[in-house]
Amino acid sequence: MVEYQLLRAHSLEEVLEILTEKKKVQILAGGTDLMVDLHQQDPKFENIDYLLDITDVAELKGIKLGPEEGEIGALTTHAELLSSPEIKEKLPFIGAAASSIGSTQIRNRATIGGNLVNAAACADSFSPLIALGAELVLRNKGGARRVLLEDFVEWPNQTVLKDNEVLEKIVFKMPQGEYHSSYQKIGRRNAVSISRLSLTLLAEVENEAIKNIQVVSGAATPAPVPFREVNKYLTAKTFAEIDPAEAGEIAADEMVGITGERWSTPYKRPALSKLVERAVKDLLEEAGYNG
Amino acid sequence: MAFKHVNKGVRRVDAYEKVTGKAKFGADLEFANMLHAKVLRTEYPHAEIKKIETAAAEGMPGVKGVFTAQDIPNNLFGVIVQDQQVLADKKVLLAGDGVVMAVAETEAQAAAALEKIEVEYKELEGVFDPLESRKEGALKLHPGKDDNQVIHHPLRKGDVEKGFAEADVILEREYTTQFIEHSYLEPEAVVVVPNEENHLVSVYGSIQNPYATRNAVSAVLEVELAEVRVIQNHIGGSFGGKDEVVSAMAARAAVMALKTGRPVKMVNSREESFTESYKRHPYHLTYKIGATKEGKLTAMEIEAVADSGGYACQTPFVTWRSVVQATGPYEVENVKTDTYGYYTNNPYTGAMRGYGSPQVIFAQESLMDELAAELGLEPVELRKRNMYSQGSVTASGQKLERHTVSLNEVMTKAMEAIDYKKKYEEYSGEQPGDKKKGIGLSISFRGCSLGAEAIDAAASVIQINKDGSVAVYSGLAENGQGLKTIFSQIAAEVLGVPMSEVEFKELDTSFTPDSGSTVASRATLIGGNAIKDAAEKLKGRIMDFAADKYDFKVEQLELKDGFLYDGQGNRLATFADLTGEMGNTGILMSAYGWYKSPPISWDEEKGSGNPYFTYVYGCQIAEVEVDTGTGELNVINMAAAHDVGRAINPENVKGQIYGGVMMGLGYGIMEELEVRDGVIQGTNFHDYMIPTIQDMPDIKPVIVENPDPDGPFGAKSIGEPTLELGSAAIANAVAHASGRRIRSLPLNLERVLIGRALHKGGK
Amino acid sequence: MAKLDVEITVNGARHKLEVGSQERLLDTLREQLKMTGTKEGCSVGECGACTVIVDDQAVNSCLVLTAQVDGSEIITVEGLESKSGLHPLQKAFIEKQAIQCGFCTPGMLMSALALLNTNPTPTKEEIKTALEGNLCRCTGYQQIIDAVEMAAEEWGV
Ligand SMILES: Cc1cc2nc3c(=O)[nH]c(=O)nc-3n(C[C@H](O)[C@H](O)[C@H](O)COP(=O)(O)OP(=O)(O)OC[C@H]3O[C@@H](n4cnc5c(N)ncnc54)[C@H](O)[C@@H]3O)c2cc1C
Ligand code: FES
Ligand code: FES
Repeated sequence: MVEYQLLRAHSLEEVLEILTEKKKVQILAGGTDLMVDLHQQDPKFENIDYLLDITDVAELKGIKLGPEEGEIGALTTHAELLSSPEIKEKLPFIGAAASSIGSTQIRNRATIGGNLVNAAACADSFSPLIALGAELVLRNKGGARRVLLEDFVEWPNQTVLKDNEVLEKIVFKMPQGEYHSSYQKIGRRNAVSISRLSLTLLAEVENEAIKNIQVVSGAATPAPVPFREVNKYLTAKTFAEIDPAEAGEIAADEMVGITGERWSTPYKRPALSKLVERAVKDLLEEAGYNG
Repeated sequence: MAFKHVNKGVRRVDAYEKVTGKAKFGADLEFANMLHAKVLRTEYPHAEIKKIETAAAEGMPGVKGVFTAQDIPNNLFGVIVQDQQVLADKKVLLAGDGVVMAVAETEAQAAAALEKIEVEYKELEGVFDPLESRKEGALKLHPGKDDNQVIHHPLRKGDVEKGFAEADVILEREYTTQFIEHSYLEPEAVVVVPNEENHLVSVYGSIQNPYATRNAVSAVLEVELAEVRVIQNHIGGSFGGKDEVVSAMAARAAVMALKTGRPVKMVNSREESFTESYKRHPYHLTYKIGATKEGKLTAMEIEAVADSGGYACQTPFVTWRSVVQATGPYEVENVKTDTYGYYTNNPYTGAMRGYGSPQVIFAQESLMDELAAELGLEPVELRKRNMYSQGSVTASGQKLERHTVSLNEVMTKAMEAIDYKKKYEEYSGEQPGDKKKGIGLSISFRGCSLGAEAIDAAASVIQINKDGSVAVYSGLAENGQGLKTIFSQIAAEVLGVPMSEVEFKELDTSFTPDSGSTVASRATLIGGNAIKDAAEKLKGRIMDFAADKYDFKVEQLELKDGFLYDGQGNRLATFADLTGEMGNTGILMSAYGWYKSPPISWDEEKGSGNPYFTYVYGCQIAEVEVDTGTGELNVINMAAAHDVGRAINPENVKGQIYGGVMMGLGYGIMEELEVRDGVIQGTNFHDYMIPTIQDMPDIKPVIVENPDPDGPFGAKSIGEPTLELGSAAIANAVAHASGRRIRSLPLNLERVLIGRALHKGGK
Repeated sequence: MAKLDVEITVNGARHKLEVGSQERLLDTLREQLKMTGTKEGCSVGECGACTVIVDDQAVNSCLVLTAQVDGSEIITVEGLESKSGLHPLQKAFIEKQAIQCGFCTPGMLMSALALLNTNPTPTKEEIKTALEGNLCRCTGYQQIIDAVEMAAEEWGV
């Protein structure tokens, strides 16, 4: 069993203080990843001396969606995200991702920050936030820095977060004008199921054409990334020019380009292609295009 | 017949304790001065033990003892074959074999002690596939055995050569099934108390079969049965799974309790439970079937090879049920069936709800649909042309005549419940889009109770107290299925008392006679008859006494609602006063009940005889939606029609159906314990997925009642039939929807989308 | 390791406790407070047998350290029955035969209670969502849904 001393912080300042003064500190938020890892005696946490509970730090909580910019506190739980009327109205794909995570009990404790910092390849919060072009605010006693979410993960379960830093919040630009989105997830059962594949599509449209688009997949690549080739293919195209099936093929090729042929490729290739095709079709339909 | 308590959905008698958290399960038990123990298990599937170093562990804080196989009086046990090691001695045969155990003041101390133990192994090559294990020249796994065969059951009927010659169509198909974890919600737990109330050891905990556990503990300790007492009360699910694994645990705790002179508690974590417990047998099935153009079956040739894992456990009996049921409920003149079990270095396999039937039914009911397609017949039509009816003769030569053969009835009722015909037609046509619907069915016959496996008898004790309250004791155990309630209903019905007067007591092996195991869906049928027997004996005494006292003929009197009536509606006495008076007069107000099943027969060489004295029939139909773009599979609706003889408690029967259907659904579409080179990949519920509430289809239970002449009030069984049919029905529905026939379980995303499974690390 | 002082309210009763750093809420309930109604089925948040209500929310007590919930109000299965008798949920579970082995029952009751406390008239879909983190291997869930629906109805009046 891993032996550690539990510390509780009640303000952001206290968190930063402790992170500066003490070594071998592991932050504890909802605990739905960390407590499981500790139970399983994950070697990654063998050497920790302290667990720093931040669940009481009010500064790290809350959702603020302005007309231009939005932010989500790291400690915001998935339950809070999915029940937020603002999220539902303006960023429904974030709510959809949140509601697909774990179970009611898990969502009540699990935080979006924990999901990102834990950085599992199948973590469901990445693709919607990458689609938004989100940045993370990482803070230590000396100040804060911003990291683009797609640059945050180095490889599964390994991020650029430093030992003395805390993830404070996630910031992003709000999509503008007419925009449409979708979130899809494939799991092995209908609930409490990690993603075999997931997908977010977010598009700003104008005059029956795509102005800006982000297609991002989860669990398809070791670290979630936007599908640049698909985005390139779709950007600035008029609806009439778009072939959803082709978009799917491009995405699948791009995935295999990143991962190489893996044991799971024979499944993931056609399935991802299909998810992308559907997301594009849905987008066209939602945008009122029926050509 | 009008019943008072039987055939009614009365409330569970153990419900109050369970909804208030008062019910004590194994891990909740505490005794004064109790110690805690943990077991060190090997990670090697096959290895010689060269050296065990325990000195450092013995010196750890709180540690009261560290023990190895050398400390076990008799290290081998087993219900059928005594080849299972309490702790591995010279060799480990499977990854998960216990090697050393430590007992300490706290669980954490015991766990810490294990970390200080050093075991030196010499790794051996392993055998991980029964098809390899059966080959000549395969590495022999068990000392003293010429080969790796655990068992072979042949069945021969007619002449298959001739039968295939008469066929217009012959199909040959292979099917495979997977390892399944029972996934009872409560991990195993036992406490053994030494020298309690004149017993050398008392064993408490989550024990499915108290008598089997008593046998094992007494054999391991080499003491008389009378010195071992097993007490069973609440158990958090079992499904066949808390037998040998819990016996081993109890035996280990008993050794430590005697060595330390203190109560010893052992509780498995979920990971330990996955690692150590036995699984459902994976099967490799080969079927060859012949039929005429008209769809009449002419011959079947079947081979089923089961993976027994490191130990024999229940393989001989599991594969025996397979040999009896392998053809399915169809008349076939010419049959050649061989079922086998082989040792490997995989996790060992044993009893699980359904026993040896779910595997063969998946194969054989999938095959029937394949054959129907080949013949251009509808699946229902092919079945109707061949299925058993009253007086049919089975593959083993048994004429089905003593009970009602209700296959047609269950099939018809299931079809009506789900609107099969309309949906079958609708989904047989073109369906636009990626999402396709389909509907599929499967039917079965199932022998009730143990059959020719063993002597099939059970006991009960009923005691009427001076105040008229009735205490019921049974030799069969509540596993969550509702036995306490069913038995209380039967006692109340016979004695004419309200349910509130009947108290079901916990099972204590020192008190109730050995009734065998609570398995094979035999509790209601065999145990219920034993309860009825005891109650009827007491009723006889009461009636004789009352007839004498009130000067009536026995036939004129009636016991009802806790009163004695004269037959004209006049109350003569209360049950309490009457029985109290009897007690005061010196009449024995307790009775033993006993029931032994009607005669059965089996010729092991030919595979012929009357293996079971009665059968149940069932039909399940699945309606699915397949996403042909992603491989996602949703079971939307299921109908399950089962002939239970008589439903003692219809609500309870429904509960069995819902639960069994869901377990069958898990077996069919998502569950698979991945074992790679003998090692389980993932030992908790995030890797091994069982159905959640969101995976539940709309389930329509249909209870069919054709009372059995031998059942208590006509009742037969329901526990196991409910889960054996689902996987085939779903596979048939998927084939109907998507055109893809999947011959391996489970029907996961990959199989549904690309037709084969993918495994991590695979190519 | 130094112990931590915490104060929690469990089923209305206040407890001042010393807990270890690694002590989970589940351990505190079962071992310190001897309230064994809350069950441990997996220890990793998958089964829901350990579900309790912390400040009105259903949580897996195997994933929460007791020191994290210092000052909180906790409800466990033992808190359901009152002087006036069984809670409508308990009655409904009995009435609808929503129990077989009973090992999942305490967790099911807690998830259902958390739901009805915030949403007294749930739809079937909402009931399923509330209970999706509670595995039951025995009942196939149907009678549990029936029971929650019945409790919602009875409780409403
Ligand atoms: C049963 C179950 C089902 C699940 N299902 C899903 C699912 O469907 N999809 C999915 O994506 N995930 C799932 N998860 C994983 C988990 O719930 C999520 O990743 C969750 O969001 C983690 O958040 P947490 O607050 O619990 O993190 P914790 O476990 O507290 O922390 C996780 C990691 O992040 C670090 N950390 C947390 N917060 C901060 C911060 N503010 N600053 C710096 N470091 C921080 C911790 O030190 C730790 O390393 C599931 C888990 C369980 C147990
Ligand atoms: S024990 Fe907590 S969820 Fe299983
Ligand atoms: S009743 Fe047994 S797990 Fe639910």
